Amino acid sequence: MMRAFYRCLLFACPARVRRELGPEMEEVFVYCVDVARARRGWPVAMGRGVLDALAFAVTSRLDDRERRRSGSGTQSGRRRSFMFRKHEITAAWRQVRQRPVGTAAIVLMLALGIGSSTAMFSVVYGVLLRPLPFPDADRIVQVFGSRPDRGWTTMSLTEANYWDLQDLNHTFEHLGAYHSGAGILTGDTPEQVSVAFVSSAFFKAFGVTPVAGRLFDREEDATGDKTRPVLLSHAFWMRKFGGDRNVVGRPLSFTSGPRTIVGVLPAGTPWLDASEMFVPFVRRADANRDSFEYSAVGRLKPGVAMDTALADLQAVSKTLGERYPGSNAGLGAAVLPSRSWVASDELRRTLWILLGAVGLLLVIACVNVANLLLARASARGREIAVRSALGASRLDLIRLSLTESLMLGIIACGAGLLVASGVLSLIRSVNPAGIPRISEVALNGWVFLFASVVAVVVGVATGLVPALQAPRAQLVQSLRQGQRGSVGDRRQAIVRNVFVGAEVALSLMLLVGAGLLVRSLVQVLQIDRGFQSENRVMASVAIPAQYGEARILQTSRDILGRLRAVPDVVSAAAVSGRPLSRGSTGLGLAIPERPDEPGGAVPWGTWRLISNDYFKTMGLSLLRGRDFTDDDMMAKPRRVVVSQRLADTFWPGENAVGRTLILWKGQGESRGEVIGVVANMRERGLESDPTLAVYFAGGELTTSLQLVVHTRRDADAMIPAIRGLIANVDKALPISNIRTLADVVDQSVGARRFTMMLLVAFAGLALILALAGVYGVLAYAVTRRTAEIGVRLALGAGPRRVLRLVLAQGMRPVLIGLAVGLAAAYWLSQVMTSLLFQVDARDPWTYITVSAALAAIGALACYLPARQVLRVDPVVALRIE
Amino acid sequence: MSDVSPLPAHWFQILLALADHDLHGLAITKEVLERTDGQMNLWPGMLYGALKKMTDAGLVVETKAPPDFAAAGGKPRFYRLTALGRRTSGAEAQRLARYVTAAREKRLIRG
Repeated sequence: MMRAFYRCLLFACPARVRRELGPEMEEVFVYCVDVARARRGWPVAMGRGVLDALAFAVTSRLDDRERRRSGSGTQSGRRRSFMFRKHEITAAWRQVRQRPVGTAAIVLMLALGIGSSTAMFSVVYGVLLRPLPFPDADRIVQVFGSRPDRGWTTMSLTEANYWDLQDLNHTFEHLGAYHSGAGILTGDTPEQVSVAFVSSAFFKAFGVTPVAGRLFDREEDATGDKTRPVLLSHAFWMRKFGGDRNVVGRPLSFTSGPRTIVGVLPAGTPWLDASEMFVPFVRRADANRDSFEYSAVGRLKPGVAMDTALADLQAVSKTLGERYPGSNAGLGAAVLPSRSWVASDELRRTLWILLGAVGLLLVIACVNVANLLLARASARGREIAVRSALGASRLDLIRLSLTESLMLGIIACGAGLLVASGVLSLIRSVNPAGIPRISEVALNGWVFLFASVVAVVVGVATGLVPALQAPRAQLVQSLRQGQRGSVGDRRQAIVRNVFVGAEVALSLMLLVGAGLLVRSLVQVLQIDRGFQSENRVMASVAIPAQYGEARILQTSRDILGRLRAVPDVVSAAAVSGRPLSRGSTGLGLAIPERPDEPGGAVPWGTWRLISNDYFKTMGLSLLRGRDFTDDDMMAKPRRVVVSQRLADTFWPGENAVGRTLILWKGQGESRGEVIGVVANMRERGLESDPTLAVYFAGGELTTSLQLVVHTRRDADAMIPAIRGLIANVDKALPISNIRTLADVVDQSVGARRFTMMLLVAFAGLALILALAGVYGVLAYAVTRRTAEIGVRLALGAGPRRVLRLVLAQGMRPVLIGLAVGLAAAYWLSQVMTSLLFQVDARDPWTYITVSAALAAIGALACYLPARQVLRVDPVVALRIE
Repeated sequence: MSDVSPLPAHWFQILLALADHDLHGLAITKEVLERTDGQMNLWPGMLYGALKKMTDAGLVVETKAPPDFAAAGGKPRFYRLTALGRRTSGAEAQRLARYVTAAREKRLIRG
């Protein structure tokens, strides 16, 4: 292996030197690499060896030239070296320069193919394949609870259950818990920060080492309340402290009191970046058993399979069910591998489809280039004939076209690299929401190499055709003026038509895919989302919990009052959780009328605390009953407003108002009286079904106030005013995440829009390439047939008839390609199904529109060159003959 | 060419290796590496480049391999020190020796 490598290196030396000294130098090389590797490692040894060989090659070449110039050249100096000779390079360069348009076309096509497939694969690698930044990531799993009897498959854990699982399991090296929360940093401009509560095992499960300072100790699971340490996330540390390592030991002042920075975490999507700070989750004697709030991440003991761990957790859960039948009866467990954090199955599928699409694009580009080179080659048949008549051997001809193809290939690779990095920086700057790690994708050298090799090999292979067909036998015939009708020519015409057909078929497949995605996005945006997003602004205001209930209520009432007093504000309201944001608060639901069947599924709903006017502000219509008033906040039993879907689930066809609903079924149940029914709202995402929603009064009582303001004017313009107003009420309240609702909606479809845009771009490029192919082939055919057309015209055929003839010839491969492409797209469309939204993968409209458009554009691409026919003057055309 | 002074370090080492017996390339590399305690690794390009220049300068000549020498893959070229090479390396050794004496007088080294 190493010897072969060195032998290749020596090809840089003059042949004579290589022959004389090659074997000896090889021995020395192997010895030297052995010595150097033992002392300084492989890379250094090889690097040193390569440098040495290259330096030797340069000096020996200079030496050789000197020798030849001084006339002492030996016979061997005239032998051919395998390296390219200067005049070949010059000749090839001349060819490349003589046809700037053709060259540019080839380079452009190759560069687009190479560049876009490199960029796309780099994205796939960066998002899907790049390992998580944790050692032995395949041993890290996420642990869930489950209640199979109620149809809940993956639930968060309760506080007590987490500690019990940690104590009782036998399969985990570390099992850590995570609970997201928020805090307020005091200072000149108070700032709301996300603070996660984590047990000490959490970081141990990931196996990370801190960038500075230390992680939490096991004792801090008990004493964390007193010692009050805080760990900073990497991003927060960089943003707030500019990467200063001396922050360790400094205090950080929260409204809840000071904490000491004990360390800085490395970056680590997703968990270590999920919060800005981490504080100890302290174990309490009376831990809560009812509320599912804790995520758990564990590191399996070495050699433990996931199934074993699951069985272990199931056994522990069963024990817990027996020990605490009230809250844990029927408790189960679930485990998910860490790779599921990287991308959902849907995103995985999306990216692979995009990669497939870009692969098709590369194929189209290669076919097109092959086509162009073929045309070029047959146009050069005469030149080649002349060259062979003058004594060029077949080898010479092959070397000549190899040189030329390689030259084109190298230029195209350079351009492709530019395209790839351009596309990547575009993707990074768009940074679509919902695709993890996309902002970190980088150009992947291996992929670039692969795409380049494919493209160049195709180029070289087609470039060789004319040389291989070197017309030795039919030299005289080829040297004559026109070479119409030769067998090789006809065979080539067939090949080129097949190429065009293939291009049309492939681009039709891409276009159908793009069309389906476009229709899906339109459907998503047009769907009845239940709420209105025009002229709405959302803002988060954090109120310190230390204010106490009365002051919190007063503060939020003040804020809402001032907002409502602004003339440009239609209405304003507060809610405990924003629509379209991740993680909503949920609860199990039931009604007293229906007997509790054991094993029957318990419907899962979402709940929100809202202030007065929330429905009005969101544009949600009240269908039955009434909205909340101030009296409802403290009323017992609780009063609730429910969504239409919830009402239909429990009381189909009946009036829900006045009925009783069991809330938090199985989690310390309580009862609520329905006072109103509102329209459905797609609050989990435009593509998710509307939730079973329960609304409680008391949105003014939350410490994390989500404000919704309906404005008369453009919502964007109102943002500064709203900011100022809130600051006027209380300067210590941090305002964050202030955006228009339209923005929020837009961001929620970011991933879908991104996918669609990419596929549309690929399909568009494919279309252009295919049309260039159609155009090129027909233009070439028309030129070749000028004489024939002249004869036809001279014999009395009308120009229109001839035009029709030529058009028919040009359209034949297009139509065949269309038919094949339609069949293939129909067959392939199933892989798209999961990407589509309320559009059938075999949506006839998409298929019809796309193929009609392609046929029309194809006809245009045929018409442009065919038009030449009308300009043919029979006299001139015949004279060519 | 006899007045190449100071001689490049690796030229001197090659001449030194050839002083008492004819050697082929790999043997030269091995001997030099050993004598310099692994400090000087003569890579093939460096070695054969130097041998070529030294041959041109008349410091060494190529010779036939000794009849009893057997190696896999054909007989390598052997190199022999010429009289000029011997004088040149001797002069270089003298030059270096003067520095060693000076260093000793200044008590940088003992013995």
